[in-house]
Amino acid sequence: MARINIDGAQNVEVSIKIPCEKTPLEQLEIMEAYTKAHQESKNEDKAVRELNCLKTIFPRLFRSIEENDLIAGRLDFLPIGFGSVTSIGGVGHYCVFHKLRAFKDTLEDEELKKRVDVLYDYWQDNDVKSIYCQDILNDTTTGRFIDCKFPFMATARLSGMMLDYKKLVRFGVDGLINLIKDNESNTFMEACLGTMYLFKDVIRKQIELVEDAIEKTQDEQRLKDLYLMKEDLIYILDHKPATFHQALQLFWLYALCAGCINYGRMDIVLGPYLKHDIDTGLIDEDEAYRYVKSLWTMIENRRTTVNGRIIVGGKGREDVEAADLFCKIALRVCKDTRYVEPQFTLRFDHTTPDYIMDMAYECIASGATYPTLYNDEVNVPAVMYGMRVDEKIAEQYIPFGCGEFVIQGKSVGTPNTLLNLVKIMQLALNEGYDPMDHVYKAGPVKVHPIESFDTFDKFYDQYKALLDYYFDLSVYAQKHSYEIMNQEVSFLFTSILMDDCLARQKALLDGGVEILGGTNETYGNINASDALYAIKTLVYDQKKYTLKELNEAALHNYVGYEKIRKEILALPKYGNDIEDVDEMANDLYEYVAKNIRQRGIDEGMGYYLIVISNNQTNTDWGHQTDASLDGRLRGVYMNPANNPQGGAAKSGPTAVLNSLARFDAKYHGGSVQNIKFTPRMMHEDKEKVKLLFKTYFDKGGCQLMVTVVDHGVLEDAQKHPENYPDLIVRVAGYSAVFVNLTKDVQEELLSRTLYD
Amino acid sequence: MINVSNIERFATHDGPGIRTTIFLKGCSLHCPWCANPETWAEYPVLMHDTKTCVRCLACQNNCSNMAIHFDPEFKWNSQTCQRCNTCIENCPVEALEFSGKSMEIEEIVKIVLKDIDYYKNSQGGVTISGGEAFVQFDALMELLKALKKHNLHVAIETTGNYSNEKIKSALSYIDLWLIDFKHIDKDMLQKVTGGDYDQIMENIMYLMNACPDQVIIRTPVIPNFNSDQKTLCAMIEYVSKYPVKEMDLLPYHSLGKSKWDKMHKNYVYSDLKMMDKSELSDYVEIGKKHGLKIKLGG
Repeated sequence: MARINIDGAQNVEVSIKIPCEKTPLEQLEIMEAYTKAHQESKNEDKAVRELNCLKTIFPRLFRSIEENDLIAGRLDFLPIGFGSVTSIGGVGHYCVFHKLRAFKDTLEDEELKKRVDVLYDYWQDNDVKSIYCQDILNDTTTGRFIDCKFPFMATARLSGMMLDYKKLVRFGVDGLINLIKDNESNTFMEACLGTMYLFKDVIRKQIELVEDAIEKTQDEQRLKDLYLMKEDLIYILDHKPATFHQALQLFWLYALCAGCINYGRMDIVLGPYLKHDIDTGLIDEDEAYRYVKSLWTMIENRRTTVNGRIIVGGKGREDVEAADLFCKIALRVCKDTRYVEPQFTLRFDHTTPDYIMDMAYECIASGATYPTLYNDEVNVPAVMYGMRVDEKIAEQYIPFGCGEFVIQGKSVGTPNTLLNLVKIMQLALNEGYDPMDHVYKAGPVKVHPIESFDTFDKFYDQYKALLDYYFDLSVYAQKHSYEIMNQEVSFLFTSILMDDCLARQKALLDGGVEILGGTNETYGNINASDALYAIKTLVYDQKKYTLKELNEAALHNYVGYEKIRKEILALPKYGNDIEDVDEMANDLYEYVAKNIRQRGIDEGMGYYLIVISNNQTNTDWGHQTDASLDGRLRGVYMNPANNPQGGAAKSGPTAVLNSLARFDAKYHGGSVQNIKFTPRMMHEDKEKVKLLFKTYFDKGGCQLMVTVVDHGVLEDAQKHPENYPDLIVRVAGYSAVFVNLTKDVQEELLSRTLYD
Repeated sequence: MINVSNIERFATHDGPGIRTTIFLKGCSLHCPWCANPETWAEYPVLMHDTKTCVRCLACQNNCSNMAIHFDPEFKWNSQTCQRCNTCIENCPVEALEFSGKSMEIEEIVKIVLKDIDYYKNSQGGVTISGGEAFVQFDALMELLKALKKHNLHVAIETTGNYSNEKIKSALSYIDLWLIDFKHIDKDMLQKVTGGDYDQIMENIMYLMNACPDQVIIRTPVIPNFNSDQKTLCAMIEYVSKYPVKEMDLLPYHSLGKSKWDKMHKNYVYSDLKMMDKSELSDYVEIGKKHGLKIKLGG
């Protein structure tokens, strides 16, 4: 079989990265050193090889301290190196080929370019993801992430690892070293020891970098900050942290070395230190605010686009008072900074203090879009069922990335598989061929001619048979990603802080982690269910058209079939609180979610759950998906997460929330819901909006993220009204959908003073 | 059956809490500033958007009752129109729509009940608005009784332009009256709105006596009609004699204009600027002096 080329974008990247501090030549040398270590350790155990490679990049890749940094730790990454996720660098021993090519293009010297070519060639056979892709990808069913021609995409990555930082701060570096030593030794454990010694080198390097910064300033306040940084780095080198600042510093450096870009329940980890320092008068809240703000900036500067999760609040916190103190300060920082990252997340339950909920509301109303809200009353029992864990463990669930759940310090839940439910339906309509490129993508599934579906159930069964096939591909691909990653690397830094790798003396994916889970991102869920509803209604209930006639209309992208499209669009759509169509959405959801989950159980995984999340894959995949029978045109974005297709929700916020709350959360591993409000509504109708959210959560809503749209959005809505059908404005004596207003009224609304 | 113009869920300005507002068809007044002129007629009204229309004449050519003509402007004959929807189905650009439809009471209640949890959490409920709800009196009574069966908080927005007997019949089914008090001068009120001053005042008085704690007086403040200080002060003084919940002054706005355009009716206030709440802020103090709570805006 021809070699699969995986050169190309491998993740959603919106934020612009900060350029590497090293010169191109230095970068090349580091990549060569890494490659050499990899080559020379070929016959060593994978853990030893990993450590040898890590030593070529750590601490060398750390950058200088920047002017306002209050904690040390800025890290570059190169097109070749070691990592966990595709958002920064890559997975395991990685080479990001298109970035390496771009790097080559920046070089002028031909000799240097040739040196890059050597690296490129070497990594073709050694990049962990490439090794995986050769096994899994093919020309019909399975594409790499992101190659949207396929109904199914698969990747190898270790996304969303959130480590047990409580353990880190409780033991400190030396404590962890002793913990490793106390266990029986093997090659993995020896490599873990080496990793911790390397980590000490990283801390020492930070001390040097802080000293460099001290030399460069005469500012008194800045010197005070830098001396504190230095003292605390020296302290944590040999002691477990005793202060908030020390704990923050230690956590941050470890997360960087582990390649983790989601951080988890920082209120649990840092809250007790914070409270202690404030109670003893060591710092005040303003000082704490400065440190937290610096952390926020460091996280923002990593620019991972869809990650950077910090979670506060919720069940399963021992020292609630201390944790809430951190939460309070973090909410202030979040509101003031208005950064895209960290993705600040509030878990709450009925015991969450009103002042926290009020601060969260104010932060959202300010347009920060954060915190995103997670309802523990729903999510904890849902996670217990979904992941088959007890309540105590479920209480430690956290969303990462776009909303997938993991258990902090205990589970792997990376979404290495992605399904397009619309494309798969189109295979059912077209005897296994994808109408977008006329390629047969049904594998061994027998797909009957469209004329043979004389009942709705027959058609639905055909669709389900194809889904089943893709579920099988998914679970295999997910498991295989772990096998390949485990074959190549140990993820040493990660393993040390994940239960129960040290006690088992095993690497993360080698039987070390307690819960080996995984997630499958499903897309086009609502387009698919609305299409099913249209088919059922127009073909089988009303008998207005044959299925073939409807399909013909879609195959022609509705050109010449405008009347059919108009009829389809006029049918009830999910998101309007209409029983029948919402039930269809729920039926498809449960079929997909339950069957994916069951396959995970059958394959012996801790869990394997769908996530209905939202990044731009719904748009990217939509571009390469033919017109669908919900009336969506060819190439148009698909519905975001489990929200209605843009333009479909026309019955107000209670209706859309009622529809959203229908899906039983216990079958998925994370689902996100967007809702948009005007700043006016968020402020003037504050109490009513709060009660709207509360009621939605009481009714079983698991999550909510609120966008507050400002006048810039209204201007855009004027230019592209089709994108804003549910943008509600309070005009005066009545409320209206903005785009339904005449231009002059819109102008009037725009002309009103904007109070910041 | 009852003729409905629109049902708005998550209505936040027509009474306490989160509400569903039912806009009923039919009105006996014809206020020239009206934001909902499409509700005046009890029957469904064809709305035509000139800006969207491409003048392809598909509506005219497909109408078997010849209810639509372009001569050269769009004309619709509500008498001959059968409301068969053929024009709408044939319009390629969605420039036409009927405003209003006949609904079963049960169907309305079913929609209202979808948000019952939101009402409960927010002490909200249902508001019946219009048009003038009392125009369809029998159906209104049926609707009220059906809503009350579910113990919903029911508010009504009304002009008061109907017999006092009707108010008495409805009294026990309504928790909150939002009743318009548009002018204190008989001639002005009758001339501009077409309402029966004596009748309206009898009803306002009746409610302010019978259940003042369930009454909110609403006054749309309209330039060149009632916006002068003398008139407003007299109205405030009049209301302040009764312990009503509050009096709302609603600053003039022109936001119903597009509806007038779609009905091809002349909107007489086209040149008038919208009024800002702040222009009325003095009246809050004046109300206070009279022991009357004044709220600006609905």
